[in-house]
Amino acid sequence: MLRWEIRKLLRTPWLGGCLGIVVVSWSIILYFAAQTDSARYLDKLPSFWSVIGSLTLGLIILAFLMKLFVLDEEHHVKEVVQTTKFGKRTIFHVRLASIMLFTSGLVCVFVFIQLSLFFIFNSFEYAMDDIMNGLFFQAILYVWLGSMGFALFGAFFSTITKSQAATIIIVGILFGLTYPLRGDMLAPFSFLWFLEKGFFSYLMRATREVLTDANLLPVFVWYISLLLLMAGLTIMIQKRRHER
Amino acid sequence: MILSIKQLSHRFKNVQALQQINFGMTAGIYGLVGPNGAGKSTLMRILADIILPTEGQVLFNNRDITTLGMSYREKLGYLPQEFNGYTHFTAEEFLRYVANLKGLPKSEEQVRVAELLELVGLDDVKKRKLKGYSGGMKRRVGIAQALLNDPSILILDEPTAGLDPNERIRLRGILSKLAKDKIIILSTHIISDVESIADEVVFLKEGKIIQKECPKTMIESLRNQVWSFIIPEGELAYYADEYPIINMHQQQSRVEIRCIAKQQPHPKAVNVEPRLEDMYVYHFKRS
Repeated sequence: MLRWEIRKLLRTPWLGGCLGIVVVSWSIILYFAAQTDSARYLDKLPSFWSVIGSLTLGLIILAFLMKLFVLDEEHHVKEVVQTTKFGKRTIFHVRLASIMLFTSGLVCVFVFIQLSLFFIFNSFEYAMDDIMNGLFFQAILYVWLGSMGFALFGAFFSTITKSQAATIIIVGILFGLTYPLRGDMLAPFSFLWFLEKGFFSYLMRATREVLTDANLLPVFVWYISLLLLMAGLTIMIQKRRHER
Repeated sequence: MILSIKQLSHRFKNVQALQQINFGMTAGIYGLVGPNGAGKSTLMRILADIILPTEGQVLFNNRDITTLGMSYREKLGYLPQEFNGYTHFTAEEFLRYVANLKGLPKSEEQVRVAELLELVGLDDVKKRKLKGYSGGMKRRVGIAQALLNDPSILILDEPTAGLDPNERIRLRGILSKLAKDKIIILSTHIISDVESIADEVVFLKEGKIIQKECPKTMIESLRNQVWSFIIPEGELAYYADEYPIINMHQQQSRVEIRCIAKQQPHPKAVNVEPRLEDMYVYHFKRS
C-alpha cells in the first residue's frame, strides 16, 4: 500500500519545477556570495533554510503532499476505498506514513541541493569541519522535525476540511506568518509570538537564532499539543458515520 | 449466505430517507427501483457499511455488519453512484491500486486485473489515463474494481448509468453469470436492466418498500390491465387525467397511447403484453 501512495505523490506535476526553482535561486545566491570572501561564502550555507529551503519545502508539502488526503473525495473514490478490506483507518495510517517518508526524502534532496551547489561554486579552501559542524547537523534535524510536524498538521487539517484549497490558504497563511514577524520584538507567549513560532516554519527555518535558542522547550510543547489536538479532531471526524 | 435488513430506518436532518425496511436476501440478483430521492442510494450505502442507520440493523449470516468490519468488507464489492477514479492513473494502475487495498496477493493481482479488464471490454485501452475516458468507460472501470476480490456481496449503485445499449447487455450477461453464488444488489432507473435478470425487484418510494416480488409475478399481476389505443389529439388531456399513461406516440393529429386501466378505457383499446415498466409507471407516475 505504501508503495502506491508514494507513487501517487511522485506523479504530482510541478514537483520537478519546484525543485528547479530551489536549484536556480540557491545557485544565484551562491554565485554572488562566491564573488566576495570565504567567510561570507561559508555564512551563506546555513542561510539556505531560512527562506528558500523552508519556504519551498513548506510549499511542496502543502501543494503536493496534502493532495493525498483529498484526492479520494475529489475523484469520487472515497466510498470505494472505504469499502475495501483494509478500510479507511488503515489507509489513513499508510498515507500518514507515506507523507512522512516522502517528507524525509525531500529533506534529503534539499540537503543534497544545498551541499552540492555549495561545493560547485566553492572557490575557497575550507576544512570539512568548518562546513559540516554540529550546527549544520542540528539545522538538518530541526528542519526534519519541523517539516514532519508541518506535514502531519497539514494532513490532519486537510482530512478535517476535506478541501485542499482551504488547507493551502489557511495552513499556508499560518505557515507563512513566521517570515514577516520579528520574533525578537514579540512578547513571549503573546498572540503574535504563537503566530511567529506556532506553525512549524520557525523550526524549519533553522536560523542561527533558532539553533541557539536555549528556550525552545515551550515551542516543542506547543507543537506537540497542536498535533495532538488535530489528531484528536481527525479521529473524531473519521469515526463519525452517522450522516445527517 | 443470508443478508437481512431488520427494521431499518434512516433520517437525514429533516428528511426521513428510509422507513422500517425489512427483507432478506440469499444468492441472486435484487433490483432496487424507484425515483430520485426514494432512498435507494442511502440503503445501498448502509448495506455497504459506509453509513450507520439511525435505527435497525443489517445482518450478514445473522451477525451485525457493523461489528464484522474487515471480515465483511473482504466479502464486499461496491460501486458508488458517483465514481471517477484517479484521473492521473491508467485503468490498469487504478485496478491494481484497488486490488492492493482489497488485499489481493501480488501474484493474483495482475491476473485478476487482466481478467476484469477483458471482461468489461477495456483491455485495449488499459494503458490510457482515466482522464481520457468517457463516462461509460469510467463506469466499466468502476464495475471492474467492485469485482476485483470476487465478492460474495456485490452492491452496484446505478451501474448502467452512461453505458451504451451493448454495454448494458454485456453487463447483464456478466451479472447473470455471477449471481449463482453471490448476492447482487443493483439500483437503476432503467427498468429493462432489472426486468430480465433480477430474481426480485424492490420498489422503493419515499423511503418505504411498496412492492417486492419476482419481476414475472409483478408483470403477471398487470395482465389484462395494459391497453393500447389511438385517440384524436384533443382527447389526450382527458385520458392523461383519468389513467396512468405509460407511453404516447404522436401520429399527425392523432395519438397512440399505452395506459393502465382495470377496465377497457376506450372502445377501440386492445390489451397488450404487460412489461415491468408498466408497473413502475403504475406506482410512480401519479406521484
